[in-house]
Amino acid sequence: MDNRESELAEIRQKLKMLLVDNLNLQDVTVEQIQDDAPLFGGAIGLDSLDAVEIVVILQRHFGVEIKDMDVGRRVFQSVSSLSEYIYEKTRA
Amino acid sequence: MRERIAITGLGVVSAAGADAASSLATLRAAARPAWVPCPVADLPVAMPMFAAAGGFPAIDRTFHLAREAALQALRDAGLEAPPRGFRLGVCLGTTVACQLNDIDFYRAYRTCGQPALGAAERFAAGGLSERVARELGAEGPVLTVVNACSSGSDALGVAISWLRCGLCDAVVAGGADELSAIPASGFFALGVTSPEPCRPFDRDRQGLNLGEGAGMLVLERASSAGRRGRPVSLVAAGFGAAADGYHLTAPHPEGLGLELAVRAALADAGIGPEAIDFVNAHGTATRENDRIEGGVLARVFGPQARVVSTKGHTGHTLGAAGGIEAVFTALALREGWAPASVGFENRDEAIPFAPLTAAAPVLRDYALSTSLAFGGNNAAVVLGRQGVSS
Amino acid sequence: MNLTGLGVVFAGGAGVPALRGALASGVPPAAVPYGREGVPALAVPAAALAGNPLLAPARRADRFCKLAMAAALEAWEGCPADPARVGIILATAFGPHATVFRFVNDMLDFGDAKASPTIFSQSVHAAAASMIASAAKIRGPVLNLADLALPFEEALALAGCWLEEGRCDAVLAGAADELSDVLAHVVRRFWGDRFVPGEGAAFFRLERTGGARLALGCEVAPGAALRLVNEGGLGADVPVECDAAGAEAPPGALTPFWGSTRLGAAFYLAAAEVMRRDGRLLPGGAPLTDGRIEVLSACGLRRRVIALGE
Repeated sequence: MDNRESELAEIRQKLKMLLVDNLNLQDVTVEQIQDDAPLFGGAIGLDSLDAVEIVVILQRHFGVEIKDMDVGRRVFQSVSSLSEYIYEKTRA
Repeated sequence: MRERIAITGLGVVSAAGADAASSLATLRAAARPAWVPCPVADLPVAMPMFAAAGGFPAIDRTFHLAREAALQALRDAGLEAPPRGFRLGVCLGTTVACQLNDIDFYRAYRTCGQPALGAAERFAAGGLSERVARELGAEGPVLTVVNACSSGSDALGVAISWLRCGLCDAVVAGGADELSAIPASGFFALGVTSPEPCRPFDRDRQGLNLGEGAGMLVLERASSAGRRGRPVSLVAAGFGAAADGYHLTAPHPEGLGLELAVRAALADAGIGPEAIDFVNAHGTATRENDRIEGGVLARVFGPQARVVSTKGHTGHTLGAAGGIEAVFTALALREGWAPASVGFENRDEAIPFAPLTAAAPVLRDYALSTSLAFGGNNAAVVLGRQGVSS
Repeated sequence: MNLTGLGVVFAGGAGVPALRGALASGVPPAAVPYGREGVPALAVPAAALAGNPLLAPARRADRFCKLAMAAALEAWEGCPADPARVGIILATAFGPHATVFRFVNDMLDFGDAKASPTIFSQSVHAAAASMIASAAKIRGPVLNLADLALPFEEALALAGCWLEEGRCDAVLAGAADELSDVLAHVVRRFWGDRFVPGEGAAFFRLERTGGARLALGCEVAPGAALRLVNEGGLGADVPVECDAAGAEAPPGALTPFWGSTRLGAAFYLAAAEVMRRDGRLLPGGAPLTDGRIEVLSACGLRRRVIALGE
């Protein structure tokens, strides 16, 4: 359990850095992104173009494919949900 | 009284045919041209694309497509050898030909820093309109529109403005684009391409197919056409364009800019929605475009709107689309029938109408062609026929 | 048509005061070694864009967009026209080519199927004017054009048409071009050290009344107070005829202030407007008599004269 939690934390941190850099989030720092905060339509306010960019980020940096944007919509809710999906697809 | 703008020549090449006559046959037969799996980029799924009929070289392809359609239009207009002092303008739209985007050139630059300069020299020969103007010996204004997917329609708008302000006697106007790796890769990355032939307005549509070609019209002041003894049976009656001001790739959720553009085009033509017989829609078959565009057209023309997308025959030809679709619209008015919207089978409940499922006689004198672009520009062109009792 | 607003960004900084300061000092910005090969060029300094308040809401704007936006939004400030009746025309020679190459980098590095969709959207020529429209909430017609000969001159002519037709009540017409490693390399390969390439943007707010009169033609007219000759930039033509009928500077005299560019007419017109507002010739400071300032351009047989003021 400990192992899983620490790996998830690592994924969350890496993901936040990638989001800030690749999506050019100018007013948001890595520390300010809360794990469970809604990524779309919340304070961070990502949009449809960010969604397809996240698909590419997942491919390049985690080797995870999203074939279907319906899966994407479910999984992209928050940094937590994204991280868990990445963990499932790569470690489990 | 503002002078009428005649359409005195038409030229077109696409997957639907190598010229206007063969394109008409394809539209009449509601035939799906053969498609090729993306021939220009390495994609994991075979994305259908629509190559232009006729043999065009791989190098400088957009210029050759543009030149062919321009010459067809000029021949049609009897302007292969224009009278002395005739001011011919050239306004073409494109998305591929305006960029120094030769991948081999750039790969060589990246690796060894000293690429062969062929691609740069071709680029330095000038914008697409400049090169075609030079080829034609045209002496009027010259402008290459780079408005992404609405370029061809916007080019017609520029031509109309030039002619109304008397900057020239006639304009070769339209658009051209070739199948190219960069948009293939880019549209795939955006998740809007379909792994099957596109289905505009259909409930199960999965996205767009890319295509290539060129569509050109000769627009001419009616007085000039008269002096040359050309009959005026088709006119460019009006144009409207408006920006969503909303997002880099997604259209405004209520189609704000498109509605403004359509209403502006109707007002520019001095007609109301009831005068429009049919609409040649942008209809790319992406989920967003067709839903939003459908909503706007239903609001303006009612749920009984007669709408067709010809992208089932040509794919989305980007900068050429507005030109090709204006030519198809003009042909439909001239021949007296609007084509069926190929690729449609089942009504999408989120769209207030179904497009035309069979060719239908044209009963009113005007038709509308719409284009929506990346970055939110929207353009609408009203074409009309004259001297026909409806 | 009438010129009622001006915006500019160039090697000397962002804003009309920066252009006035540079011209008044008589000292052009220094060319600096640019990019991979250190080609001397007149690049826009980073400080002109970073922290520029006009660019605040533009998360997705690439450098080309930022250049265009900085100039356009400066020219736009205070415009009273209804945004639904305002148009935008952006002319360029090379467009957002740095972004096109960033996208091709992605294709080469990650494969055709795994390139960044965001970079692709920015690489499309239409992005810049679209971002200007979003920032200013402009809803009228928006046109991007790309040509190598007289692109800005054609943009101005079209703006005049839109106003004359009643299609718009105001038009933001301008020009923008950016540098990149590839462009600097090509310039060097084609022309060696002959040209010092520049980058930047200049935008003009045009309306039917107010400000100063602006007219376009193909011939010079006698009695100009000042005639500025745009030498064409990057291998394009110098206008043949420059007969003196008033104070005049040799062809390309002001080009060192912004660099060799196919958009020269836009920067010369910006300089002309700065001088007209100040009522004096810059550099030098000699009083400028009231009257017309002409900017001349040419390409082959096509000649354009932009006349500013009465």
